[in-house]
Amino acid sequence: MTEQGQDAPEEVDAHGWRPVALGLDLPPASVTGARIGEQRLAIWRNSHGDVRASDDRCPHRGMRLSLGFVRDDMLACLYHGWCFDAEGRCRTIPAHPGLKPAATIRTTTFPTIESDGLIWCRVDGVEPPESPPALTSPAHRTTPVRTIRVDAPTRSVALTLGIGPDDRTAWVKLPVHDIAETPDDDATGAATMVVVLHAIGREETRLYVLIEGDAPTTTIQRASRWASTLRDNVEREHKDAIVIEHV
Amino acid sequence: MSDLVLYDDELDEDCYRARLALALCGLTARLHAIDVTMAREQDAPSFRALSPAGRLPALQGVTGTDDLPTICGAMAVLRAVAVLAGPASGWAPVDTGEAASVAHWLSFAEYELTEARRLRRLALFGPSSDDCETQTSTTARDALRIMEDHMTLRRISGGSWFVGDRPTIADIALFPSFALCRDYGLSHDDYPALRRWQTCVKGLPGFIAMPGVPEYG
Ligand code: FES
Repeated sequence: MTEQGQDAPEEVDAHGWRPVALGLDLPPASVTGARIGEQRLAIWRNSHGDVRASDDRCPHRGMRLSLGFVRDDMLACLYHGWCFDAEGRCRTIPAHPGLKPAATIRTTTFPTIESDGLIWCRVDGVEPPESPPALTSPAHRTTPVRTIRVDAPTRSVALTLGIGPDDRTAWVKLPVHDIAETPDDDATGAATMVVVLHAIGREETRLYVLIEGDAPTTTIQRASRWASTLRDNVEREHKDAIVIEHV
Repeated sequence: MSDLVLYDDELDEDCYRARLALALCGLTARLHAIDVTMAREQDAPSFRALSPAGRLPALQGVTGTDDLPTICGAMAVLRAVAVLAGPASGWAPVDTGEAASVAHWLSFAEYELTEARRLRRLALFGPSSDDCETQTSTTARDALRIMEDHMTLRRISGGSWFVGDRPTIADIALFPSFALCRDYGLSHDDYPALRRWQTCVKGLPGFIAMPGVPEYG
């Protein structure tokens, strides 16, 4: 689908940083779940816009914190309402309103950084952490398009996009004219799409789609539809491949 | 208008659609619980007289106290509620285009989300006699993806709701299947556009929760 005009595949020199969400998909005072390898994460944003990452496990009864909500700039567990601050310390236990929770009650937190429209996180414990990869030149801002999940191995998605198969986080730049819906479609101009892949499991991949610089609504919508079609094609080919393997 | 009575099962997804519609449209109905578990009250002759197919939810009192049969099924109840709420409520469609788009999504909720409802019922209450074997979660997933793709495009063009620039009964018809999909193991994490929309729905005046749908988040 991208025979010509495509930049050479670039590997993410990620220094352990992994993309966990589009910034756009995490509004103020909200939480979502993510995964880096075996580490499950609750990624949350406070009302001032700061992003935090915590182990997705409540120290009370082990429920998933990503199912909870953000209140008073703390991450609250859905089950019994224990609240955790930016450093992961438990600050309130609703069943015991008078009690000041012990400092030992806490969740593990991980460093996060928001750049180029993406939220990055690292769980390898390396200090001091370097910066995440620059997807575009600093002069460019990025326009986020969407996050999309593909139920196929990252290898299959990478192959379809023509990029290196083995990296667990990889990215590719595609000229937007590659995604024109009709041959004489000229509304796309010279924009460049950035697609970041992240393996969230053996059979699941997340794609983060962005456009370099500003883009008109029609181009963003087209990029979004392109991603849906890519998902459907990759999944179909992957399913067919499994069937052939088993014949 | 005579008094409204809603024949209801608290844990049923379709009954939640009806309760939510009544609450958001500012209408009150007396709830009459139908025990669908051991007692199988939905099959009792007294209930079949009101809802010939034994279908829940059923809304009585729309056209008169002794209207028979009652308005049965979630989508019919939603339409009835929007009409009862009246044009001033903002819940009735404003023009033909909007009415047609709302009809499209109500039909989607009725048919494409069938598998989502069934998987949830299966996960919570186990198999029932009318369950056939072959089921995969991909049908339910595919329906949610269609909703996600739609709401992604809506978000890009500045829209917050499924149809037009304000909430309609299409949003009420679709909301429970997304909000409750965790009941059968689908995560909300892969549907950021639907999460954003879910927050908007939960912020509507009159919003009510149900077991499995937290008030916040
Ligand atoms: S499990 Fe989190 S507060 Fe109880």
